[in-house]
Amino acid sequence: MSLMCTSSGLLFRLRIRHSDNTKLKSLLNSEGSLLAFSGFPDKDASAAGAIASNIWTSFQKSGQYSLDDGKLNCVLVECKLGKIAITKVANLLLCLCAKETVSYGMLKTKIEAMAAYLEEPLSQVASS
Amino acid sequence: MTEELKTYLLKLMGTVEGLHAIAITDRDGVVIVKVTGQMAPDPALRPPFLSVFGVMAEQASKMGIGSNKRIINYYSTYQTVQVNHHPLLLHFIADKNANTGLILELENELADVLKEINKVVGMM
Repeated sequence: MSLMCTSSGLLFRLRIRHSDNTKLKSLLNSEGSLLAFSGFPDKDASAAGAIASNIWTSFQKSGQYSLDDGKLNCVLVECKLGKIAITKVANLLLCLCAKETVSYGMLKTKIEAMAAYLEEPLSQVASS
Repeated sequence: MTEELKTYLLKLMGTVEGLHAIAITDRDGVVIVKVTGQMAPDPALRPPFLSVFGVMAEQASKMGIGSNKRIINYYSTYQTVQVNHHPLLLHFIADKNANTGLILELENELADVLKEINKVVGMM
């Protein structure tokens, strides 16, 4: 069994590359339920995950219809107190929360690197 | 005034390579003013697409990190940069390879325009 197939293995992979600027990394299923997260324990983590999933689904659907462009690769959300990046890994969503001082480029690069790192093991889980 | 505004927006649009359209809407996605290039995807400049940002900005404001300011989407062929300038929404639709930083910089250039439109909207 690969490291990813255990919850501790999943958390280990999510904790890797944690920096001071990243508050939270979470992995959600397509319904927005929280599967795993790494970062400060927060009662709002599951609520934020559900909202992140809703944002992703809405923009994906509107893009499919209006842009003739089915594939949404990445969403960056900026709020007053922080930034959030969302991307798809296998059939799951990866959500990364960062401080408001983190630049868009760094956040996008970081979530792309995380997604590439998690793609293969999560694909194995998804196909099993 | 509308023609002057459109000319100004077209001029701004020309400063960023790959920027196809700029639209200013209300929070329901109703277009107040828009300028488009030849490559602009037409359905993306209609309320069904533009209104999604208004709803999602409200949702994002409930994530516990303050009110929403911007949402950037990267699709396979396009990118959208949408700015929440309450009560107005600013939308940029560009090629996926367009420089996002330059598009975000246009927000500052449009600050005066948005202030003027805000005044008009406030009077109604």
